Amino acid sequence: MKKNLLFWLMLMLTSVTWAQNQVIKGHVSSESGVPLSGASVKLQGTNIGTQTDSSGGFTLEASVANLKDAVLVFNYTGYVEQTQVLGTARTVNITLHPSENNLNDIVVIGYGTVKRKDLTGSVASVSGKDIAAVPVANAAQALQGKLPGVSVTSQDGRPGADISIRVRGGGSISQSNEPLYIVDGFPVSSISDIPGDQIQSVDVLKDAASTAIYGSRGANGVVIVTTKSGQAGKVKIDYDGYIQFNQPVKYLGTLGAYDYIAYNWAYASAISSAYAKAWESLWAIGDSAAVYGNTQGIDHYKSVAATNFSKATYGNSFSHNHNLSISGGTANTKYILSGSYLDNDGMKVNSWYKRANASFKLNQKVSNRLNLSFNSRFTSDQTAGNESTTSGKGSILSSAYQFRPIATEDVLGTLNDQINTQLGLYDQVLQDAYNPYNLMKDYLPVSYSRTLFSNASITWNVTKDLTARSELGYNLYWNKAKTWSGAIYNNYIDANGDETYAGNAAISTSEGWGLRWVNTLSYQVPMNDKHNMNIVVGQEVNNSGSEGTSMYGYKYPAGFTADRAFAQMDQYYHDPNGTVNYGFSSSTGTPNRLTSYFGRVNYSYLERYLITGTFRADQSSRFAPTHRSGYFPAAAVAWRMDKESFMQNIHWVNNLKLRLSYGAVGNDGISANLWKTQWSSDGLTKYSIDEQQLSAYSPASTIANPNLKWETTITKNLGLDFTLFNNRLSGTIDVYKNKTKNLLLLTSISAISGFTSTYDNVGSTSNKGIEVSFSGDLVRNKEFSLSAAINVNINKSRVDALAPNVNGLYTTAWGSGNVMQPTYDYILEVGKPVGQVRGFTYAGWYTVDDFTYDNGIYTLKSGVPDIATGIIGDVHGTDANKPSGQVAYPGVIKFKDVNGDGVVDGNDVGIIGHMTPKHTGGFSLNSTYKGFDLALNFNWSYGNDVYNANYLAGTYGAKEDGLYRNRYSSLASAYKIYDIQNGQLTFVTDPSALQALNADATMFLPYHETPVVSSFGIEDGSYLRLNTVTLGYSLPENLVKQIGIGRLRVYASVYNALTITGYSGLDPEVNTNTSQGGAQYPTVGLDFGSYPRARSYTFGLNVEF
Amino acid sequence: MKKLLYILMGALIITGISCKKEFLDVESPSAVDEDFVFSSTGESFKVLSGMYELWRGVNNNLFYALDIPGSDAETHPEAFAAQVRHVWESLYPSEPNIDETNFTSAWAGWYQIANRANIVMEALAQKTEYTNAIAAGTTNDWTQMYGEAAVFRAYSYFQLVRYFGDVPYFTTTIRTASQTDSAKLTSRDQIYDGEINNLIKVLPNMYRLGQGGITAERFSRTFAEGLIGKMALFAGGYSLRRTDFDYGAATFTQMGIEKWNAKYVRLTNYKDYYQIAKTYLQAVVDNPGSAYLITTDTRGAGYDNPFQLNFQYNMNLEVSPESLYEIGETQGQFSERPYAFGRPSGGGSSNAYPCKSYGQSRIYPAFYYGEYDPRDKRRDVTVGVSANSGSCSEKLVDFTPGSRNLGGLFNNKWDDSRMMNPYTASQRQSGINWPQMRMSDVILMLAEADAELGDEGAAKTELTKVRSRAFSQLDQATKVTAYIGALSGDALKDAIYEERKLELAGEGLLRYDLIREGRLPAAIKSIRDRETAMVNGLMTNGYYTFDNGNQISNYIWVKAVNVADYGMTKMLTNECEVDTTDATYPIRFPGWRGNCDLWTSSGFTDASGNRNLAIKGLFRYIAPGSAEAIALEAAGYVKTAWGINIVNNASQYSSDIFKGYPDAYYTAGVPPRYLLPLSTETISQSNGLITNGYGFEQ
Repeated sequence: MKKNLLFWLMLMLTSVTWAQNQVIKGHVSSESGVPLSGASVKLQGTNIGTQTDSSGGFTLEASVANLKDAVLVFNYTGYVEQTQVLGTARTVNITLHPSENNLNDIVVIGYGTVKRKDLTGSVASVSGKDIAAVPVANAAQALQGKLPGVSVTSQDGRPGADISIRVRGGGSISQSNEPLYIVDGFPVSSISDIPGDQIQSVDVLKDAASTAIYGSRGANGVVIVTTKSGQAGKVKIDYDGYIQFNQPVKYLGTLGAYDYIAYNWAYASAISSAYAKAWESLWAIGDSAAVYGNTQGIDHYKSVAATNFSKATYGNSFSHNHNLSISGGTANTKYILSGSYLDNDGMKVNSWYKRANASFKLNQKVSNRLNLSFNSRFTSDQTAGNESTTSGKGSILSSAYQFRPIATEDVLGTLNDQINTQLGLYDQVLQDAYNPYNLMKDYLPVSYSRTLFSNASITWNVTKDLTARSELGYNLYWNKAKTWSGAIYNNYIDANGDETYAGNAAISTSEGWGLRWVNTLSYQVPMNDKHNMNIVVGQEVNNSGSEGTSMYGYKYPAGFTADRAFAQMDQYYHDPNGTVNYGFSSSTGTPNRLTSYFGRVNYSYLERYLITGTFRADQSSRFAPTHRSGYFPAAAVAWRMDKESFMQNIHWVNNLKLRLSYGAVGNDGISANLWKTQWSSDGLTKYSIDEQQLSAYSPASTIANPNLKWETTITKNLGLDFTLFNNRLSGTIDVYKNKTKNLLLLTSISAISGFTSTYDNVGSTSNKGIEVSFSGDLVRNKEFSLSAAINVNINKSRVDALAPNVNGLYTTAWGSGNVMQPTYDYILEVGKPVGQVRGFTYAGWYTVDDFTYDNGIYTLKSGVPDIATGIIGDVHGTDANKPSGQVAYPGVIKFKDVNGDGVVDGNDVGIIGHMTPKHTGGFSLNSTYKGFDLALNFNWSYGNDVYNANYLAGTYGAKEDGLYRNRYSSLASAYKIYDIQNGQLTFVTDPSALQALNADATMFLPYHETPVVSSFGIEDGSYLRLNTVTLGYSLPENLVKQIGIGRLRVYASVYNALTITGYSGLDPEVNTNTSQGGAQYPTVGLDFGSYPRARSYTFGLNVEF
Repeated sequence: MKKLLYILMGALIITGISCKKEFLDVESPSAVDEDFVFSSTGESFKVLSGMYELWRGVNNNLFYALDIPGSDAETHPEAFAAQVRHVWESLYPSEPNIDETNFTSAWAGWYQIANRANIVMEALAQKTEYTNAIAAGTTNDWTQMYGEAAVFRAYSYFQLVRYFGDVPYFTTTIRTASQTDSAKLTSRDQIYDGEINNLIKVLPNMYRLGQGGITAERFSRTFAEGLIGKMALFAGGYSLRRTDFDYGAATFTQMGIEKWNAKYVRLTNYKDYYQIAKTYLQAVVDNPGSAYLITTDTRGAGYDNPFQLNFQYNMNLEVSPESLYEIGETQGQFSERPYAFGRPSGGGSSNAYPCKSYGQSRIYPAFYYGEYDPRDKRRDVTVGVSANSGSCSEKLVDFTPGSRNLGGLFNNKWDDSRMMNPYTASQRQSGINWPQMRMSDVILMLAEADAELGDEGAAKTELTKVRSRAFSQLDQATKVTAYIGALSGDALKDAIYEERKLELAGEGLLRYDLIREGRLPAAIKSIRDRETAMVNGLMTNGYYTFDNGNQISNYIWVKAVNVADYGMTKMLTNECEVDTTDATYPIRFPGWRGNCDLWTSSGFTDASGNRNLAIKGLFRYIAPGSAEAIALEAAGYVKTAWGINIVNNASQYSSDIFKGYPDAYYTAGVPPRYLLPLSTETISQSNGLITNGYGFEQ
């Protein structure tokens, strides 16, 4: 490689002959005479160009040959492009007029830029201004509802939440569907570390015509972020900041004091009298009332207050964000230096996200032919919070409501579990020490991440037509995670409530680097005016490496704080009995390497007929040597119809362009180790010899597949861009079909092989859809303007083929995989989208009328289907009053006997949830009146279900775990088999009495032991959300100028202002964990253990000095 | 032209900056390949460690669901309808879901271990240290590990055959998924032959227990011989076979009729296998290495129960000298003993004395009351009547279905309270090992083989060894010598099975003994009849008298007492050797109960609180309202529900027993359908070569 580099440099130095040069000068201003700094000035048909300085002036040097018949092209964002024939003039002053459309906006595409009017592919763009207008921590979230064909879903409301971006649905199942993120030319894994205020623009490449240049990484679309650059002119200082008050939107209702005691009294009694007795003596009710002198019995609690612990663990919070940038420069040197700080305090106890960021960009013109640029960005962030879930329960937050709602001072009986021993297993819902607030306080996982990106490039205009560019990027990251769990969390508390140990500590670090070197040559083919042709060829090398270490210790001495433990990890408890209370491990990652060649040709004729062809060849280290290479061709044509002569008289059409593209892109998002057998260390076994645990090696559980190859997506796109009615209405309509073949799928293989699965290129998926976006200026006045924009996305995703040995079943195991029925609650099915929920069809509950009653025994009438043994488990409290083997009993949950075989069993499980929306979209209104600006942003999702596992988890018995919990308020009116009469719990068997007791029941008897997936937990998840409302006021320029300020705007906004939905859970937008329970394939639309979103009131300030 | 040159040169450069091919050959030192893994005995043993770890996990679920609760002595605690596993255990009163995770994960686990065993054997066979030792007929660490791998494979296939019948069989390593494409079911006979012969081949180069540092927490030659014996008895025993499968030249003796395309048969030449069993079991008995049958109690006065000492070793977290193989559990990590298979506790998940123990392993009252000789010292060690409360006190068990102190009589062989170092930080982590084969099992198997092969003298000698230690010196003449002396023919064989029950109840071995000995249909009928008679007696009379004179009653009288008040210094009781008239007798009888004496620092001392139970009327009917009852109540005893909860849950103790095998089946000679189905995945990925048998869904 070195030799080649030398050759390259020598070539650069020797092959250039410098011709005699001439200088052209000039000045660019707006209609009102204001100098425009940063405007681009270019010699048409060449790469020779410059930018205007702060006073609007420019100087351009070019050879005599180049200046012969030269045309100068002037561009400035938001202004109409102007051309000027140079002739013999050497000074050119020009006035630019504001643009009323976006045709001349620069769109960033792979390894270059293009004007929107010359675009042949499907690219959606959003400006940094629109992103900065949404006051969220993660800029990706601000894209929500703004881009046609781009679906943005935030995980949930936790600080530092993952934001998932899906371009046209995504074609993979087992592999990542994340788009490729490119920031200032450098590929990164996420854009969460870039403050919205520093973003100049975001361009999303959607079809193969635009993404194929990224080859093996382009299949899921490419999100290109361009950060702000310095402009020539005087030094400018910008400050943008806001403060934010976050408020809960909603809590789910829970039982009041009396209902809580009554519910658990009955349920405990249904399990065993011993539990009921323990409950009675806890509250001094029933037989225990007299023992504790509680004359009112349970009625006493009708006037006792109840706490919903959700409120104790999740409430108001405060966040703030600041961004300061200094920029400036001359015609030759431009720079920007930015710093930002964000402190986002979570609504949940002990959760936060903080980010500090510094970035620097420099552009140095060395000569007319040589340009150097350098940019660097350092980000340090930390995230605290734990939303891990426990099966049957959810996260600590989502199950917080289950804690005893009645204050300890209101307990009239005995809470001491040394005396009231049956309570011993229920400390987590009964004893103050373990209340969810204390648990959250006692468990603190904090992850720290630091990244440094540096990118340098040299651009050399070899001739007026040929430009060479070499770009070297290097990034580094250092991540660290520290987790402390204290005495309460680990149960290191003795019978007296004293700490036996302080807690457990764990530290893990990982660090790595990535190197990227790209060389491109772009050539503007000299042709006559009618033709325009541009060629880019390039070569790219990517390399990366990583390593990690971790250590943990258990049982630090009582009195240790988390900080002390982290500082003295070796002070863990050295157990004389040999139990190992520490561990450490390290790993070195497999490098990912990629070598690539690519090229692109753009050709246009008469500016009417545009053709683009791209090609990329990639070689990736992630595949076996025989399958390393992938080739990705794409082509696109566009026809600017408005330029045709027959359109010249149709004045209401300003722009009309038809685009057609076809191409192939790949997805290499797999681990590098899947094609060969790997063994790795298991750490210590639980197996011991003479109580000494052992070190072990195991091969991977996936059998190696040396035949793995690229996942390839073929995309077809037909699009129409138009601007109508004097540039008042513009829009885009795209129709596409993406087909992913050789789908890389985690495939289960027959267990007789000794392995469970393999990765294989089997099956295919497709996405087809329509994206429509319109934007219109409804009113254009100097003082008042009103504009609106809307985009609608209809995407139909489909699994087209699966290998015959893939049954597509997978589980979230939210109710514990072994127990939950059906075990597999999701399925992949050919002809259907990814992620459908399967389960039983809910049909209410059995009533007295379904049974014959004889001598205390309810026998199911013939013709009424029973539920097979093992589906819903024991229905506590009913066994003694029904024939052995019968599950049904009055009040028991009822399911449809789908196949009509007279019994509800596994054969009646069907698809009950369609989790993919029929359409999604967003619309916005923007208005200005004098100094005021008002913006409303809406987004919606229609036609998708949400799988409310939180609710299902709250509406079954869960014998050991479920006892003594507080419950959702809806359970107050659930079917009852116990009544409280004269302060005593009474079992009701008589049919008429049972019927009377349950005349107003609104839910089944939630006493069954096993979690069951049924349509009871499937709800319509459609929603329309008013995402942000912003009202701003910019102080008059002449006023603020007097105090030395260029611009001053204050604003207030409400984020998550209003959601219209029929969904009964906390928020219909759920994407908490797409691999809940280690699911093999995505668990779309699952609401389990989610962290609800806040409603945020923001007050902000934008100042420019 | 010049421009063209530039382009050309540029293109050349870019093509030129291609890197060497090796640039794309990447690897991480964290992932290791086979060459490294098998580079030394130390590294190689880590592979075996990984297999032992798998073994620890994979056997548990089916054992828990089927082996522990499903014989004519052992049962489960919860209501029949409460758990789907009761459907499998009781021979399918309704059709099972063929994709039950318990079935599929056990299946996958054993194949995983077997394939890894093949990897190990193939790798070690390449080692010159191994081949030299084999050539020289010597044993070293390489040959020992090779032998352990062979045992892993044999044991895995034994489990697969025992639970699933005929299964696919591989003796070479699978490295690519396509190798299984043509796999079919292999006859269980071929699998038994293949694995027994492989073990016979490798065992001369393995260490016996005690040699080469090998303890019963690893597979030894001693265990390999015992395993051959056990597998041979299964190979020569009855099993459910498909009529839609070709067993080649094998011929069978059939019991009963055909149903579900299946029959309950044994090989005509079964004695060949009994002969193999005899050879290798005799080898264990003759040369057991460091293992031995514990026949003397070294603990001194108040104990005198060598049978209990075996389990006490487990509870002391020591390997018992009686064990040939124990799964090595670790304290603070995991153990099902006593959590699932031992004395229940009502404690909390942590910081309880002792923590929660669920109690999956339960005992039929008809077995406890009716089959143990009242003088048999194994009864109280094996079966308990008072659970741990969780706050260092006794709690009478309740026959109401449920867990912990509910669910009826329980397996008392392992008990938190009896541990040398009880673990109270968390439930299910006692660290007590899982003994999978112990000497008395081997001796009784040898007795069985001897009896079947006609050597009754030898059979009686072996039977005597085991039975003898169960009785005190005083009882030897009548209970042992005379009893055994009178046996011959089928009575001897029956007595050997009965002895297995008395000796091994609660250890989960009996269900498959019943199956292989062809005893299952009759045993089902017998236990159900005897339990039903008991239920009826309780219902009609308030008590029921068993043949041996023991009575179970609807009510017994119980009093919580402080042992210090009775002059006792320990809450934990041992063997009952006091006179029935002694004041401490109701506390000490039945024996082997009470609570741990080690929790004094937590305030649980023998002098404080009423932590022990005095029990009256457990084996003798006391009529409620009788003078005796009134006197007991006056003395502080409380009339407590006992058999009445059996009456209240009559179906649990009668018709629900082996509910899938009703009396009509017994009469008609229907084969017992005890095998597990193959999963949809196994069938659908077999290219049509594998189908489910025994009437299971395809």
